[in-house]
Amino acid sequence: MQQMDWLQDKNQNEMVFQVSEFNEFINNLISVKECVVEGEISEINVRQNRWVFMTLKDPEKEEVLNVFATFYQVREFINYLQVGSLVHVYGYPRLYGKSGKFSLSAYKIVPVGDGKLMKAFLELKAKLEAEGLFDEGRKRSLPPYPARVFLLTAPGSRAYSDFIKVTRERGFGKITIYHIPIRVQGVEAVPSILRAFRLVRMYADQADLVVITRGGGSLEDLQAFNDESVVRSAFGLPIPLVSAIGHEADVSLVDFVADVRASTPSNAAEIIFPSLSEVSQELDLLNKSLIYYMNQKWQKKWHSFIQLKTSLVASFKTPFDRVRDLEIKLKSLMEHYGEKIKWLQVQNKLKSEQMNRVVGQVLSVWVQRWEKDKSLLMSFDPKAVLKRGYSITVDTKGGLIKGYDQVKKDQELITYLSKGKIKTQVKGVYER
Amino acid sequence: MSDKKTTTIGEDFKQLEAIVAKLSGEQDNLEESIALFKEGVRVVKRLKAKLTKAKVEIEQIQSELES
Repeated sequence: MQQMDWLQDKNQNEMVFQVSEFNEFINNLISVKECVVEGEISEINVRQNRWVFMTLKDPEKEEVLNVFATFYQVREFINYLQVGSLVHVYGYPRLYGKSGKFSLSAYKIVPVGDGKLMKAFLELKAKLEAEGLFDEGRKRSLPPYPARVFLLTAPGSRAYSDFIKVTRERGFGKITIYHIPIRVQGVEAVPSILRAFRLVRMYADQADLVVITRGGGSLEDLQAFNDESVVRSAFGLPIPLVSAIGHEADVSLVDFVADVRASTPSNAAEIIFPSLSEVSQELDLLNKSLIYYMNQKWQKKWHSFIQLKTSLVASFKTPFDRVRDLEIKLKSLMEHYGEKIKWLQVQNKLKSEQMNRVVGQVLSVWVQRWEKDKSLLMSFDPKAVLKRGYSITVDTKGGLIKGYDQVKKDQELITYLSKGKIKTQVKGVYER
Repeated sequence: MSDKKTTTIGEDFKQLEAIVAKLSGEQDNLEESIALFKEGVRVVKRLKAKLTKAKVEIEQIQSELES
């Protein structure tokens, strides 16, 4: 209601719209309604990983619609958003003031299946892939410092000038670009590209690599680079092929068959020609490793030289040296034996000491025993007994009388005392 | 075994190694030993000169590269 008031206000005062006012007015009119549009993507550009610009078309009719979205909003399906994809775009109509372009400001883009061209493209891709045309294993690396390059692109095109411009900026030394003009779209495109590849094969020894490039475009525009004969002709060139067909998001079959794929014509030149700073950096690194390895090699030689020198001096021996050697040997032998003898002596000494000790021990035991026996023996001496007041009685024949039954009445006995003896006659015999 | 013929560093190394091997073995003849030793010392001198020269050259190249 408010905008209607504003419109009426404008009309009443018969004021003329400023452009920005008009755009704002239109936007206010059209952006109220949320829409869903189905279409085939014929162009898609992602800028700075933030903005997505697309051109949507009807599969059958030549009608187009600009679509704008932020990368963040459509990131979910971004990998499926390719040229030829059929999509549903959810968004609001919007007039962009700065370019005056009308677009659908999308907040969601959902793929709903492949378009016809895309289907054909994918089928051919699968077929050639199965034949091994895209094998990673057969991709060659580029020569590090190419000097001669075949450039296949449309004369006077943006791709041509971009490539030449970057080559001039980066390249140094003598670089020769052989431009082979081709048509990049339209009916003439396929035959002209085939002819160019024939030339490349014929004069392969004249250049280090070949670049084929064109600017961005819709899948229809890039059709020649998806042509089966072109792709087959690009396969197995005698020199490496760099392709830069379209922009970042565009993919062509020639890109798959090429040895190196660049995203844009400028990027192709960047990949092919190293910049001066890159080269000087590499050179610096090479210098350093050169010096390092050189020094290392020398060090190794020098080390073995010193070793040899030492062994030369050591290996030279006069007879004197030999005698001296023998002397030394002998001396050491003697020392060795001397030590041994000394050791044995010590051992011996130890042994004899041990022996003495053992013998001593045995002896002392004997001595002790002897002493004991001696005193025992002494205690048996009858004289010692007599001294204690005992006496010994014997018969006249000297037989020792020990009991009453050994004597008879009137028998003569002799009793020995400590001092002297007594002669007695038995008066009676009693058991008790 | 003459000095007149120019030898490479590798050849000198081989020669020196051979001399050392001979001298290390049983060698009863003193005259022969002395001759061998003399030859060895000659090779050492020659080899040292060559290696020193190589070092100087390397250093020169290095300074050229770094300048």
